[in-house]
Amino acid sequence: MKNIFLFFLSLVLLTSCKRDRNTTWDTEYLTPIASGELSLVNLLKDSTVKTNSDNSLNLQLDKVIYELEPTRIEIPDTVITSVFNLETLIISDRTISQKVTLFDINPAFALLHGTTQNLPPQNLTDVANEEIDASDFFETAIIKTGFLDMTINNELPVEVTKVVVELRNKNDNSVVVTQTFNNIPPFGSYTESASLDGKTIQKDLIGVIKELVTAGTTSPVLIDVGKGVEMVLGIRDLKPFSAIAAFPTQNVIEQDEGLILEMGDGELKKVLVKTGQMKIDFFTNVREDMTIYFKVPSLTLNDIPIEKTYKVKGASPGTPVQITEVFNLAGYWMDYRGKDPEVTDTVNTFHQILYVTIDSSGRKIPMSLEDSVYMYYGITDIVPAYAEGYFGSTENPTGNESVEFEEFGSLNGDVELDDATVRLKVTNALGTSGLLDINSISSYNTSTKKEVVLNSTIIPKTINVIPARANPLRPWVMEYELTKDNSNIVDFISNLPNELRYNVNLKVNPNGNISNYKDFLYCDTKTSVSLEVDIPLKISTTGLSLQDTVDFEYPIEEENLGNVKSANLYLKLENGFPFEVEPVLLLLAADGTVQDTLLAAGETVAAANIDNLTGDVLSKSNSTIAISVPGSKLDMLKSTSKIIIKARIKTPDAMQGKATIKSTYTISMKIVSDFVYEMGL
Amino acid sequence: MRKLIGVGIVLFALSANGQMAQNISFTEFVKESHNSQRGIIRIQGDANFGSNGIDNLFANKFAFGGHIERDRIKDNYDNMKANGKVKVDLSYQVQYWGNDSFNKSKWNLYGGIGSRIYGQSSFNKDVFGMLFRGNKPYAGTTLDFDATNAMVIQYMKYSIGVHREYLKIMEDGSEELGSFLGAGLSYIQGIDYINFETKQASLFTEASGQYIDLDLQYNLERVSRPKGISNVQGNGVALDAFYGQIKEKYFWEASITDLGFVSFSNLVSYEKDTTGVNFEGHKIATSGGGTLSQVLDSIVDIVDSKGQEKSETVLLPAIFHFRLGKKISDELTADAFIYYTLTRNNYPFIKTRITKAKGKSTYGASLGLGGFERSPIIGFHGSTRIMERIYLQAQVAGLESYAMPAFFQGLQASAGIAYRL
Repeated sequence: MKNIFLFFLSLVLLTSCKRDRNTTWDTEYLTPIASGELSLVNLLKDSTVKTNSDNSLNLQLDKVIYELEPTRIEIPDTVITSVFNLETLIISDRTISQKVTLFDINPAFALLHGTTQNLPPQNLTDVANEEIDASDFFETAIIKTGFLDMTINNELPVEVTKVVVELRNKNDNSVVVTQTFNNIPPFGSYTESASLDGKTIQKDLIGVIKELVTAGTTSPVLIDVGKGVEMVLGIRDLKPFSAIAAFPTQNVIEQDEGLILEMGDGELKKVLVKTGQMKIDFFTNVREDMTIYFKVPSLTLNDIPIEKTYKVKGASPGTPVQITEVFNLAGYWMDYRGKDPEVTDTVNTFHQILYVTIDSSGRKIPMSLEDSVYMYYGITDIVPAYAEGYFGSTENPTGNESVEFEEFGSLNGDVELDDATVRLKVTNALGTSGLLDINSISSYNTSTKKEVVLNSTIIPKTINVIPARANPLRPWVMEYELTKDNSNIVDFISNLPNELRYNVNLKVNPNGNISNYKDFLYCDTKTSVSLEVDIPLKISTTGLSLQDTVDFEYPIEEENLGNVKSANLYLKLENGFPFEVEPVLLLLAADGTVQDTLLAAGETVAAANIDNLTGDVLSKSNSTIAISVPGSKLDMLKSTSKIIIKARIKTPDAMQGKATIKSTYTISMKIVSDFVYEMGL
Repeated sequence: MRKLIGVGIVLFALSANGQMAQNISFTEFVKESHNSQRGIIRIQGDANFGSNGIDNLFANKFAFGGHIERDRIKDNYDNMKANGKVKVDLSYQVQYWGNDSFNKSKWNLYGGIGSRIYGQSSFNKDVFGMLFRGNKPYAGTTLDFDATNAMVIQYMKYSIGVHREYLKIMEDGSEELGSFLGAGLSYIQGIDYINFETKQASLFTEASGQYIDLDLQYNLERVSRPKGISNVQGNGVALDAFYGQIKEKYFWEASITDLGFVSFSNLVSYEKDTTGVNFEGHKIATSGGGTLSQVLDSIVDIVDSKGQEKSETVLLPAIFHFRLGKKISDELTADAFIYYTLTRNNYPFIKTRITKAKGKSTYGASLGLGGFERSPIIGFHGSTRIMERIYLQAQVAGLESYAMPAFFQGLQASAGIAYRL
C-alpha cells in the first residue's frame, strides 16, 4: 500500500505542470498619441489679437507703464482713554448745627427766665453731649483730605471767654476733632477750621462742649433760657480713602472739543469713509450707576451724527460691568472743518463730545481707592473712499524704473515689422493739477540686452496735467499718437521688449492751493501713463523663437515601464504659416532643470506654399520629423514632468518682403508613437 | 480589449498546460474490475490540445515560459487559417469500481471525483495577430475581429453510479465478459466560467498611424467571485452512461459522459456596443498642454464597459464516444474511435489504432484526424501489468508537431492506472 501511495504521489507531482519562468513576447504598436491645431491666436493671448475683415491680424496691447498715487491720505486714529478712581471722587459738603442753651448749661436758669439779672461768670465742664446724625450722606469714611469748619455762635449777653468743643464718633467714643475757642463776644461768632486728614468719621457723632467759661455781666441782662451757644459743624472738601457714602451726581469725564489731527502735508475738509470703525469700551467695578453719553458731530450718515447714551448699572461685588460696542463707519462722512465750521472753517479738526456721569442714586455705596472706571473711546482704521481738501504740493520723481512687459509672451528673436501705431496716454483721475516730466521711455529686451529709447517729435518734455472732474468722476486724458512718421515706434516695438523702462516726475499742485481746498481723490484713483499698441502682423524674421511649456506625464504605469523596449515618435506637421519652423523639444525634471533633449535643433518644417505675388498661403506643407526614443531616453521620460516646446520661425530665403499673418493660418500637429512593448504572463 | 486578451491568454495557458490526452475507454477497466475480487481504484488523466493554427512549439513556450520569438509568432500567423480554432480539454478522475458490491447481485457500484477544464475558441486570425504582433504590422489594413468567441469552463464532478457485467459461456465451459453497461449521476460544482463573443469588431490603423478607427461590439461573461475549489460558483448535475459488447472477433463500446448542465449564479456580464470610433490621439489644449496618460484613459474608456450581474445555466461539454475493435490475431488488435465533444464548431475526432500484445504488455500506434486538429495526428500507446494488481495504460500523440510544426499541430496524451483491490 505504501508503494502504491508513493507511486501516486510521484504521478501527481509529475503531472503538475508549473511554468519555471514567465512567458513573454514582443508586440509592435502604432498609435496616435496627441494632436492639435494652433493658430497665432492660440499662441498669443486672445484679447491681444484682432482679426480684420480680410482675416489679417493686428496685435493690440494696452499696458500701463507707470502709475502713481501722489497723495496718500492717512487718517490718524482718534483715541481717548480715561481712567478715574476714588481720587477724583468727592463726598458732598455737609453742615450740621447743634445748640447748647442756658437751660442746657444749668436748668436753674429756668427760674430766672424773662427776668433781668446780673449773670456771674461761669466755668463749666462737660456741659452738654449732643448727638449728631450724619447718616444721610455717609455711613463711614476714612478721610484722606478734608476739613471741618466749626463755628460758635454766641447768643448769650456775656462773653464766652473759652469754649472747648469736641467731636467724637459715638460708636467707639474716638475723638475726631477737638477745638478751643477763646473770647467770643456777646452775640458774636467765631469760626475755626480743623483738618480731617487721616480721620475716620462715622455716621453717628457726638458733639461735646467740654469746657465753657463765660464772663460775668456788669449790669443786669435779660435771661432767656432759650438762648445759648450754637455749634455749627461744616464738613467740606472730603476726599476719602474709602467710604460708604452717597456720592453726588458728578461728571467724571467731560469732552466737547475739536481735536486737531496731524495729516502730514494734507489739509482735509471732508472725508467719505470707505472702511473704519468707532469703538466704545467701558469697564468699571464701581457700584454706583453711571451714564455714558457721546456724540460725534463730525461723523454723519445722511446728515445724522452718531449719538448714543448708555445707562450703566452699578457693578456687583466681584462682578465688574463691561460695555463694548463697535460702530462700522463705512459710508460716513467725516467733517474736518472744526467744532463750529459756520464760525471758524478750518481743516484737519475733528469735533467730538463725550460725557461720563455718575448718577447719584442716594444709596450709600462702598468705595475705595481700588475702585476705578476705565473708558476707551476710539475712531480707528479709517480708509477714505473720497477725500477733499488741499493735498499739498509734492514732487514724485521715479528715477530709472522699469515694468515687466509680458505681452509678447515667449516671443524672442529678430523680427521686422511693417508698421506699428502706439498711443501714449496720460490719465489723471485725481482732482489735483500737476506737471508730468517725461525724461525717458525705452523698450528693453532682456535676452538680447538691446534697449531702444523712444524718440518722438510730438511728445512734449513736460505735460500739463489737468485735474479730473468729480460727481461723477471724469478723469482727464491726453493722448499722443506715435507712428513711424513721427517717432521710432517701429524700432521700439520690433525690439520685442519684455521690459519697459521709464524716468518721469509727477509734480502735484506745483502752484500751491489754487483749487482753494477743492482737491479731491477717490480711493485707488491714480495718475497713470499707458501705451496702447496696434501692430499689423506683417513681418519678416531671420529667427523668431516661440516657446511654451507643457505638463508631461509618462503614459505607462510604473510597473509596466520596463516593458517598453523601444519607441519612436513621429511629429507630423501641416504648416499653414508662411514661415519655416524648426522645433526643439526639451525635457524638464520636476525642479525645472533641463535633463535631456528629445528633439534637437536641425529639423526644419517647410513653410507653407505661398503665392509669390500676394504673399498669401496657397496650401499647407507636410513634414514628418522622426524622434527616436531609445531605452536611455525612455528612462529619462519617466522622470520628466514638463516639456519645453520651442519653435524657431524664419522667413524662407526665397521669399522677399514681409508676410501678412492671417487668422486662417494654422499649424496642425500630430504625434504618432511606434513602440515595441513586451507582453507577458 | 483587456478582457479579450485575458480570455485568450487563459485559453492558451490552459492549452499550454496540457500534457495528457483524452482517451475514454471503458473496456479495459471494466475487465480489470470484473477480474478483481473487490473492485479497482482507478486514476485517469486526460489532456487534449488541438488547433488548426497554433503549433506545439508556440504552445510549449506559452505553457512553460520563455520568450516567444517574432518569427515563431509570424509562422503561426501565416500558417493559420482565416478562422482559427483552438481547444483544450484537461481532466482527471479518481474512481472506485466495485465488484460484487451488492453481494450476489450482478449490479456493482462505482463512484469518484473528477475535475475538468474545457476551453475552446474560434477566432479570426486577425485576433491572434493583434494579440501577439500588435497593430503595427497591419497598418493600412482593417483587422477583422468578427465572429470571435471563446469559452472556458471548469468544474468538479462528484459521481456515483452502477454497472453490470454480463458473462458469456465459452466453448470450454469457462465464463468470459460478454457485455457491460452502466450509468451514473454526478453533482457538478462549477468553479470557473468565461464566455466571450464579438459581434462586430474591427480595427483600422492608418498606414502612418495618424488615426485609428475602431468598432467594438462584444459580450463577456465571467464569474465574479474569487475562484478555487473552495468557492462554489455554480451547481449542476450530469449523467454518464456506457454500454459495450465483447464478441469473439470484435468488440465495441459507446458512452456519453458529462451530459448535463451547471447554473452559475454570480456571473458578471460586460457588454460593449461601440462603433465608428475615430481616435486621433489626445487633443492637446493650447495652454498648459495635456497629459499623455489621458491617451490611455481615452482608449480604456472606448473599450471598457461596466459589468452587470446575471445568472446563467450552461451546458457541459458532453463527450460522445464510440469504439469498434477487431481481433486480428492473438497478438494483433485493431480498433477505431470516434470522439465527439458536443460543443459548437466542433467536429468528431476519429482515430484508428493497431495494437500488439506481448506478454503482460501491449504497444501500438495510432492515426487520428478531426476535432480541432488541422492535420493528422500520430500517436503511440501502451499498457502493462505490474505485480498482477496494477494495470498501467498510457498514450501520447502529436509528437511529430515538434519536428515539423508547420505541418502538424495538436497534442494528446493520457495515462491511467488501475489497482485491483
